[in-house]
Amino acid sequence: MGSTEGFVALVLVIVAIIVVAKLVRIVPQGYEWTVEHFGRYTRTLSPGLHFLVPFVYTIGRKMNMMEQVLDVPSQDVITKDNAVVRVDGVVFYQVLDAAKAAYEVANLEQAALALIMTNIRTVLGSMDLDESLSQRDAINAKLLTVVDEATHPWGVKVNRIEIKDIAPPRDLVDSMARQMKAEREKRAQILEAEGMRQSAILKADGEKQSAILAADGKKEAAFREAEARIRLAEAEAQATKLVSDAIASGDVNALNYFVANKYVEALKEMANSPNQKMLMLPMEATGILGSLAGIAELAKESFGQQQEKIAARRTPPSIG
Amino acid sequence: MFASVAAHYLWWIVALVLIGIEVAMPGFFMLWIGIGAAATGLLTLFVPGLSLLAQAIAFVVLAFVSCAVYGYVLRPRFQQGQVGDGRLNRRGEQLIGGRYVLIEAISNGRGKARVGDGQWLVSGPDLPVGSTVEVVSVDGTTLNVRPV
Repeated sequence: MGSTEGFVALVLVIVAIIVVAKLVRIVPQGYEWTVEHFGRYTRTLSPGLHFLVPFVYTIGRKMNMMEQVLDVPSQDVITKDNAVVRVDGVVFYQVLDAAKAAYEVANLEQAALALIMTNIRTVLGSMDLDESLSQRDAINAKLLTVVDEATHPWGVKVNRIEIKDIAPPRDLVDSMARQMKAEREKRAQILEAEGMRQSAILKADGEKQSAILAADGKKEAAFREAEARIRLAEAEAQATKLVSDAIASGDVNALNYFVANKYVEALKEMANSPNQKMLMLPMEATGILGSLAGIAELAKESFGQQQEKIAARRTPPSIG
Repeated sequence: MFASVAAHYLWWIVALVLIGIEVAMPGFFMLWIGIGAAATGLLTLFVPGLSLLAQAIAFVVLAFVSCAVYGYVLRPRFQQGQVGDGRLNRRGEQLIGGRYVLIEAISNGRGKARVGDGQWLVSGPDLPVGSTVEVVSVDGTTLNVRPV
């Protein structure tokens, strides 16, 4: 009797524990649980504590409402210009409507992945290789538009799709590198040729300038020389004129003085010349002496005149 | 073995074990049962000579009562003034009141708006591209908007 009672009590306790476990439901933050009433969806439990009538209401699906990252496995895609590239990516999505995500689609992750992979093929297939390598943003935007629209009935919001890597095959990469190198080399060569051309032009220009300047210099010099000669001639003419004037108005002895001067100077030079093997004397030494006599005459004349002047100055005024 | 131990001690041991389990692995329902067990221990202390079945029934009732007391009396008080951001994990509700620009005209009540660097489906009165809209409410993945 006692043991039966004890057994019943034990069963009661165990049942109570199970019932309480079914009754009290705690949904952790970041999740939402769907509630089914004999298999039919009725409502969604938000995070926190809930009391559910046990056995009548059961928990259906436990949906993760946090943003999730899905790796898109890499796949071979053929571009518009028939290049085969390996493409992989990541997707960020978030369940916004737990009930739809739980019941509208059987396997959410698989469905989303299939959708994204086919759309990657579609988008890349409509671009050529260069475009697909340089326009990631455009690809991402296109993918997002299509996939977001498609996942809408599942209560899922695709926040972003990013293409991680677009890898062309090895040989294509090599030829791309070669193309790049050739491009650079071409540029370098063009620049070099341009430099040479410029330098040649500059050199020719320099030569032309210098020739012009030299000619200018010569011309200027010639002008000046001519002018100098004219001046010299004028001076000589003037000198000659002065001398001839002096001769005309004065004495021939003045001329003799100059000539004598020159004679003496010439003699001095001859005497000083380094090869003194001979001393040339003028044919008429007497000429020189004659010129000296001329100088004496001149001196006498001038002295005589001066003395007369002095004498005239010294004569006292006569007292008449 | 248990015959030598007083019944209320037994219940308290059970209560401690249950609460200990609750602390170790938070499932949160063991706590109410533990409280029920502790209360049953008190009951057997003050009302000696209860039969084992009666004690078990009392335990079950008290366990449910503790649940009910928490759920309908204590919980509303606890949650006053210390509710966290209810919009956590609800991306759509965080956008309510925000103003966004349409990147696709609303026709037949459906269009698209740019939100951050992404886009959201919007529903509202027909509007041309580029007009600004304000989010009124959210319905799953669709924002209900009105023209500004």
